[in-house]
Amino acid sequence: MRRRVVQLAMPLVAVAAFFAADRALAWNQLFPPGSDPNAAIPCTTFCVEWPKTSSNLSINVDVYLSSLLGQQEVDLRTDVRNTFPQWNGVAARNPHLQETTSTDNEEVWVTTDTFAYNVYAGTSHTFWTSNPDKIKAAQVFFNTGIVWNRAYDFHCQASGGPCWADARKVAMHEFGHVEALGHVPRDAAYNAVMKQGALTYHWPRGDDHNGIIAIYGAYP
Amino acid sequence: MSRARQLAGTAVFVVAVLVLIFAVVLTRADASRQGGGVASGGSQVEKSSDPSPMAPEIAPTEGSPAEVPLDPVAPPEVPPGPCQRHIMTLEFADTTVEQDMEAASSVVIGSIEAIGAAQWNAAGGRAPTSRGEIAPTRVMRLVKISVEETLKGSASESIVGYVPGGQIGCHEFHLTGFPLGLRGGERFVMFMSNSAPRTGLAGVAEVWQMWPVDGDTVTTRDGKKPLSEILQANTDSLAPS
Repeated sequence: MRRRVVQLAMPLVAVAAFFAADRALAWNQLFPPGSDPNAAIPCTTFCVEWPKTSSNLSINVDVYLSSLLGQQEVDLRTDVRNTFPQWNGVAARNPHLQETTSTDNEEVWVTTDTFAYNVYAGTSHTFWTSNPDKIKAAQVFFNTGIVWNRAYDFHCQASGGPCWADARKVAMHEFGHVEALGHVPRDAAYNAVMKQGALTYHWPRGDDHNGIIAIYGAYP
Repeated sequence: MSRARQLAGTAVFVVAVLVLIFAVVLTRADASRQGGGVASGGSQVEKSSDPSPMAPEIAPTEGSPAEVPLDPVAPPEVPPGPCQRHIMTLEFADTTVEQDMEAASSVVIGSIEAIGAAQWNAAGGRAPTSRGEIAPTRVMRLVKISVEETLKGSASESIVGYVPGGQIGCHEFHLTGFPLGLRGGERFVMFMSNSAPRTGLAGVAEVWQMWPVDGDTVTTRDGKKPLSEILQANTDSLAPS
């Protein structure tokens, strides 16, 4: 009888283990240098992150918002500012985002630029090659060619014309990159704003929180 | 006697004019044989009012794209401070190959023939002064492309395009989808536009998307696809809706 129970339980244990393993990979840290930074792959060999203070606590990261962000269909500065409490609210020692109006000491510069029609935005990280796994600064560029909205409208014209995108989701996603999160695959097993493309939510989800905590350590 | 001298002088003048005209015609014919510039969707890249001091402008109608110097005339200014690596991740919309074809002014399958040294893609070819602009999108390399097949537009056999990213001094600039280590002979499906670089350099096409081709397989943003699928998409995008 006991053997029969064990036989029945084994497949269930295997299935549970499979899903547990999947959950462990439900976030990705930014990328091994030299690989395609856009790939949704786990970072296992060389992962990058912001430094912490000498007391192993969060550093403050000053974010400068260009006035160009206010010249789109929606004022993108609002969407960027709304990302700060979300990422700062993760219970971890991740960098604390705060706005600055000075360009003398900013770590993150946010502005607009012109990209190909099918690019929403881009985030660039800067590293000193002498300290290659620590992020020194970042820039976020929103594509001026996108029709920005706050209605979860993600579509592109069939004629190769402009594309529409929700500014709230794209801003939250880009600041996930700023924090050092990478992309995750776009399937239902992942509960993350770090999926690319259309989503019907625009705030960090469970897998994003888990990723930040795993990278920087839990706090308090 | 003076009459004969006058006639001889006139004859020499006429011959000289004819030789000059002949030389001009020969030069133009030669330029025409080498190709009339980057043909992208039937339109030419216009000259900018802000010519770059880093690389001379060459109007597409006055010479072959092969004559566009791939390297900057002067070495680009290296940013001060320690060596840095800049890596940019892009967010892409969900588009089809047909939409990408529609958006491009020309699409070719071609191989890299030669690659120029990286230079600033900024006004006047100068290094950006603002830290916020020192990014992979502000660096470019000119590449000479040997066109194997034109899927859209009317590109000549050899064209010059510019791709983002590269290395300036000890500073690396890497952008999603544009390999830092481009090598001669590598094949790509290249989507191009007529947009001139910020330097104002004319006669070069913007390569805004490049998918590696290995044999009959293309690596797109959505993974590997048979080349025939791309060719079919081209047919579909040209079909009347």
